[in-house]
Amino acid sequence: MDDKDRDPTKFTRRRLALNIIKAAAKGIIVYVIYYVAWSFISPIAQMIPSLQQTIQLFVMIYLALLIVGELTSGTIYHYFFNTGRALFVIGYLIMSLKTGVLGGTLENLTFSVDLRLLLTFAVLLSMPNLAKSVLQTISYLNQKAEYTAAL
Amino acid sequence: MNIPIKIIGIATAFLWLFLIAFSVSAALSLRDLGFSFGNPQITLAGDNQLQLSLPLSITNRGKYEMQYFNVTSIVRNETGGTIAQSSSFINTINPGQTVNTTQTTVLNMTDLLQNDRNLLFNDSQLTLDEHVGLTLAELFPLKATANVSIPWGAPFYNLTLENPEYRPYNATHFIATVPISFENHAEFGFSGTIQTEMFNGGGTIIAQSNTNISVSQRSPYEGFVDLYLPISSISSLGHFEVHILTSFMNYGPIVIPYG
Repeated sequence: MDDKDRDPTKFTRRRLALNIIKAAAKGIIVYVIYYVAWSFISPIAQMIPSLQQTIQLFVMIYLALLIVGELTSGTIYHYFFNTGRALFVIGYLIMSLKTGVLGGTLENLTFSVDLRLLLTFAVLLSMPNLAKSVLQTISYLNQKAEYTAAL
Repeated sequence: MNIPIKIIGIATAFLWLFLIAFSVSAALSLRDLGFSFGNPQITLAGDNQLQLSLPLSITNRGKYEMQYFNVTSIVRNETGGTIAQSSSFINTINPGQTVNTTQTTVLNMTDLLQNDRNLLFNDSQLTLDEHVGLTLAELFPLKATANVSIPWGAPFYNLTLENPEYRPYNATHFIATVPISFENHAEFGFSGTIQTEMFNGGGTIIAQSNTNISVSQRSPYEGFVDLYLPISSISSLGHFEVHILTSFMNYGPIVIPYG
């Protein structure tokens, strides 16, 4: 069978292996970005006790959705997870917006930082990701329909 | 459709990286902000006013401008009531710049001492609440609050009128000498008049006297009040009513029993 005649949506062992490699690579890249960013932020995070927990929970769920999404690449579930990830980021940021003021204490100084504007930018930036996921899903379904019609 | 999707993906990835990098650098700038408060000082100004000065140093070692820097000082008494308030504003503090300023809060002594007798006779602790607000990199509003305790020294600490000592003045009158003492624990000296009225056991005023006083800051005062009273009106029990009249406040009567 020629490459052109192969089902682009078919899930094979070769694809699974590739998916595992891609999932690992993407997971490592995201974790490295988190690790590097965290090494800079950690001195401040010591002053704001809730910050570390909030960011770690976000990164954990994001990484889980990313890895599962990549492992199921080539199936419709890949797009479900991608869309779910985009929705999770938007939802998490919107939830954070409610309590977007982080506070801490340093000696006898009590301080608070208002991150709501930054979080709003992040929410806006998450919208294209959601749009991308929806477009990818449409494209996938389109490819599948074209292949079925060609048969 | 794949090309537009890829373009969206690449563009958002770059924007996310930019946002993360900006957030990290802003967080680092936040860490590099320095605030330090000096020791608060109380000085006596004209027009019965006390000036409470708090030196404040702000250092911006970060990479971004600090904007809309404002400091609000609120002086509170022991019960948390607001005594005085002041604010100052600096529009911009550039990266690498250090701004030294003194936040001055004016306390009107007349209002302060007339309304709070405790501050007149008892040492106390005033609280200076410092509220600092600024915007970093035009994106992160930051607020900080610090408390500084200021010891308040009472100007008439331990005001005491002792029992009168009588000696004859003439055929009809006696002189009653009343030792009067107090400690001025305040950071300012003052002068004024102590008006003393003496009442016998029946509640009738039998003598009155005005005594001029002048006390330096953080000094004790010891003096006498001489009262001329008719022999017939003397009783072993009674009370004094003391009025304190100074340039910055009038207070009285303070009732002190004798006998």
